[in-house]
Amino acid sequence: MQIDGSNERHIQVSFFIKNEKEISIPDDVFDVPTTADSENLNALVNQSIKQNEDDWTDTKFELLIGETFLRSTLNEFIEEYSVDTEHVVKIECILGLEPPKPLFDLPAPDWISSVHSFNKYVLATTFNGEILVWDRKGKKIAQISKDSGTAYKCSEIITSPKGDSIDGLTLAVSGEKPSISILEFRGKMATTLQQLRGHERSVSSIATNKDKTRLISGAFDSHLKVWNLQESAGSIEKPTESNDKSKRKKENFVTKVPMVTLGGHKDAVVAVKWSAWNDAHCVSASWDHSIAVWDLELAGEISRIRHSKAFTSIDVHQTTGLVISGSADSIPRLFDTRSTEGSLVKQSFVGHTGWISSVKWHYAQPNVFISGSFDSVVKLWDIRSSKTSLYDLHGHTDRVMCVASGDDATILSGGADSTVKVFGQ
Amino acid sequence: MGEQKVEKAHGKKRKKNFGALDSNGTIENGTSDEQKTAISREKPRAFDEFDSSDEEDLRNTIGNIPVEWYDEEEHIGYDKEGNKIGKAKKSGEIDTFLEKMEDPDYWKKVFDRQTGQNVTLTQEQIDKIHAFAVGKYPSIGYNPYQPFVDFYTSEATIHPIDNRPASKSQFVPSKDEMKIVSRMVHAIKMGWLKPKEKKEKPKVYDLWGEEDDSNKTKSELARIRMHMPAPKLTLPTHAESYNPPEEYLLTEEEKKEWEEQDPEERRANFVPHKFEAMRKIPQYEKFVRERFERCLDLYLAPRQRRLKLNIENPEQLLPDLPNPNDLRPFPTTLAFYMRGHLGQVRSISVEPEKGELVASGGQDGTVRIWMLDSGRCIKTLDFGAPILSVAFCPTPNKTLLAVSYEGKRVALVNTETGDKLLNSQTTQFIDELPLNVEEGIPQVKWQKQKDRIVLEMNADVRKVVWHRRGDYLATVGILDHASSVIIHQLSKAKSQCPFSKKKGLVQSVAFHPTQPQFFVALSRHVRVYDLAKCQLIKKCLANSSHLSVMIADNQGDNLFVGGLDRRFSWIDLQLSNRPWKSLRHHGSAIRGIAYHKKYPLLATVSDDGSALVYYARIHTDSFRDNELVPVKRLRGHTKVGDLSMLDTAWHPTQPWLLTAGADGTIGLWSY
Repeated sequence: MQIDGSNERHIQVSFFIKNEKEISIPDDVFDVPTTADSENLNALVNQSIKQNEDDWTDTKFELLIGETFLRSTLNEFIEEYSVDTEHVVKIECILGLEPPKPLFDLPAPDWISSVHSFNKYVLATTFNGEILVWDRKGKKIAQISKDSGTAYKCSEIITSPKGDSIDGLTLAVSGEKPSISILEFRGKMATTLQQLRGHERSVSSIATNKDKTRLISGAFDSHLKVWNLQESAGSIEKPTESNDKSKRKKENFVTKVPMVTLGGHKDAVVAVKWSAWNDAHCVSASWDHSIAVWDLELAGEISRIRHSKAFTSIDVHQTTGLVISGSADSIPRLFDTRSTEGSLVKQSFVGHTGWISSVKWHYAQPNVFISGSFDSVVKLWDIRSSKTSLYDLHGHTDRVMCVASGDDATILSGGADSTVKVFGQ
Repeated sequence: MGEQKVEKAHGKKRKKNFGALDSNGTIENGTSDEQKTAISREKPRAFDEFDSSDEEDLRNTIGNIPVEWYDEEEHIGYDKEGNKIGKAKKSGEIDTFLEKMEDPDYWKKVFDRQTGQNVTLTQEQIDKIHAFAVGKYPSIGYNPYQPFVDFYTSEATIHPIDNRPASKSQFVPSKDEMKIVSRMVHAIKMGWLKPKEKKEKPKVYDLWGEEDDSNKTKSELARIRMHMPAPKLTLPTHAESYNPPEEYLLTEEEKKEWEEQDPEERRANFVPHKFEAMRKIPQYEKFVRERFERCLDLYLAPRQRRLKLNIENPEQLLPDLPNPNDLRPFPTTLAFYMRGHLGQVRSISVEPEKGELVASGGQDGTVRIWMLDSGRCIKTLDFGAPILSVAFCPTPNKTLLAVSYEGKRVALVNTETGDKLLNSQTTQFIDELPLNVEEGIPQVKWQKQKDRIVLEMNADVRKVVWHRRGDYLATVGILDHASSVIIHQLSKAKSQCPFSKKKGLVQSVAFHPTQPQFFVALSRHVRVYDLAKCQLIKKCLANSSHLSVMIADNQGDNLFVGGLDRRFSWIDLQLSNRPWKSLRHHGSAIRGIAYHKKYPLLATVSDDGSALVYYARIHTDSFRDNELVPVKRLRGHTKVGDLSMLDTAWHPTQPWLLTAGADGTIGLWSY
């Protein structure tokens, strides 16, 4: 062993931890061979903690050197990022994300177009116009087929009920049919509260603001439209339409027209999100290879990021405001809408082999996002580690169409194999 | 001649004279006394012999007889009176000596035989003799070089040399010459006389002149350049040394073996020898033979030069293609397959402008409408018979789809997808078509069946092609008849046969996007017709024996044709009626060609299971050459029988390619 060791290069490292008050890591300096990888170092950290705390159970830490996770051996890391080894290398220990365990495999009658998680429930829409709700035991509570036959492409939960029921859940759905329906759940039925008409082509993305008063939508007619969700605001009763509907189903709903229409994209708008900082701003991504930031008060474009490929999905982080995007290739990319100079792409995450269909920021972890791809794999990424993903979630047998992050740290994904997979701790 | 002879004789005489004088001169010049006496003795004889008598003052009257006759006499002659003239007493030697000593003029004295007395020569005579002796003119003071007066000098003088008046002949033209000239003129006129050909100067080769490469022929230059040095002799080794190391020396057995071998078989043509010293090396007896053999080797050495290509890397031989990375974007990878059809997908068409929807027609008798962003089939239209061709109406304000299916029918269907408003407009358009008008041709029957228009045709239609405006629709029937091509006008619900005569089996047709022109692809060539004037404009030959597909570019200046013989040709209509480029990149028959609306991209699909994407830039500026660079070969779709990819289409806005496979899938290829 010693003969082997003599040939190796050694560097001095010390570990520290932030934000975790319960854990204290001794401030010792260790002399480690550069062939050590993160597992070896993890063992070392755990060993050193054990010396102070007897009842310590081994935990997996993510090791952060500078701004990047250590994923390979120290040697490779030092060479790649040219780390200064003259001094003691300080390694930050971060409590690693626990590997997600598959919780449920929920079958659906058709391809899943969107999934959501609220309270204890999972909600999904299908490409056949069904809305499905499961509880957290994997039991299907409701299946609503209001627009059976026309594909839903997107949905957004407006209000989720308090308590252990889905009564009072309001949901906005849209898809192939260019009108956006606001549905309210009562028992196992859903009634249409409002219908937002104005788009010419299928709506691919909708988003509501924080106080649920406004809704924006992006559609294939390359327009963004802003809708007022407040009742009786800007509503137009269409007698003919309602008569038509009433023939089929006795329903009374309000038909609304858009407050503002934002035209500026040259091709289909595939994703819209509200800005993180400003309530009047929103971000949209389009097939015309650009991400645009809009001011809804001015009804105009503020800035635009141009890229070389058609986008399929974006998500805006609610605290940092960073935009993660999926495009018609296999690489999720991180953008900062504020930067106007230099490389607009802050990070590229290489790992998928198919189109990225959907990206979502993790609900709890500030640096983690989820990506679903047409290669039927869902990946968890940390933006500090662009080379490898944190976890690959296999299970889907066909293209993944949508991903979501639940508030209880669950990861949901739905795909063309007509299942919703739920991963959690 | 006579004169010359005389002169010669005279010269002889003079020579004789000179000869005499010479002898005299030598005598006279003599320094010794004895010689002088000898001369003096001979001299009178010479005078007697040659000089004329009248020149002499003759006191001896013996006449012209030699004096020698009197040698034995007492006298030497007779004087005028006839008295004997006695001989002078011979003085003794002492007397002579004394006289010589005493008389200062002794050397001037000459014995005269005639008179027998010594005669003293005068000073003038002595000078003369002296002049003879030194070879000068005998007359003293004679100047042979008189001053020369040049009368006819080159200098112009103002006065004539002579005073003679000019002769008449000098200013009267010569009649003789005139006669000669007139004769020559006549001869020239008659063509008898021809100007003498200039004799070429004998060419002289300047052996030592400067070499000039400019007037050398190519082969001469090549010979100069192709210098072939003699192959080098191998250098001597230790074995050739006069004192080789022991191990090089042959043992007895080796020597024996060497001797037994044939000279050709021997490893070395000599036996190593050891000598004690350099000076003991004998003369090399094989020297001459070796030289001779070396010369033979050089003489018989092959003089053929190996053709040497200086190729550093084999890529040099490839044509200089631009880097495909500079020609991006173009589709490189498969995004996904759209599955749903059972059996072959025969035809696909992308919704114009937006490109959200794709229509595909399959062997299973269904037309499916797909959403391109998710690959979801949102609508299935069942026609009950295998679909042959589908085509979206190219105008964005109609959601109309033309479908041809087996059973000799073409249907115009409202897709009922996409924009609701347009759907209703299209429905209205279909409803309002004047279907009952009894016009047009008997081969086509327009009918309305439920929500769609069905055209009953005379044959199965292999291809439906829309005009860019969306009002005209051309169909190509699988029929070897002139009425296989029919053009239908939607707004009037009318059909017409543009051709009355069969020109060949029509494989494909295309409308010119802007002008009233119509392209018809027959099996070997493409015909361009003017629809307004109803006449043939152009006939283009495609380098293909069996065309299968043809499309026009967005401007209508170029045609892309593909054949079942694997050949794809680009016909530039403005350039020539032959293909500008003809390629055979596929391993099997070409089934589909598509040209992108926005990007300079062209794709061909073939039965070999691959789609080839070309960067095909068409420059509107006619001075620049079009560009055609193959950038990507996309492989996909499993082979079913001999068929693989059957049709292809480009997305209208994105650089995405759609391919229809015989395995029932539609592939979307993105970059």
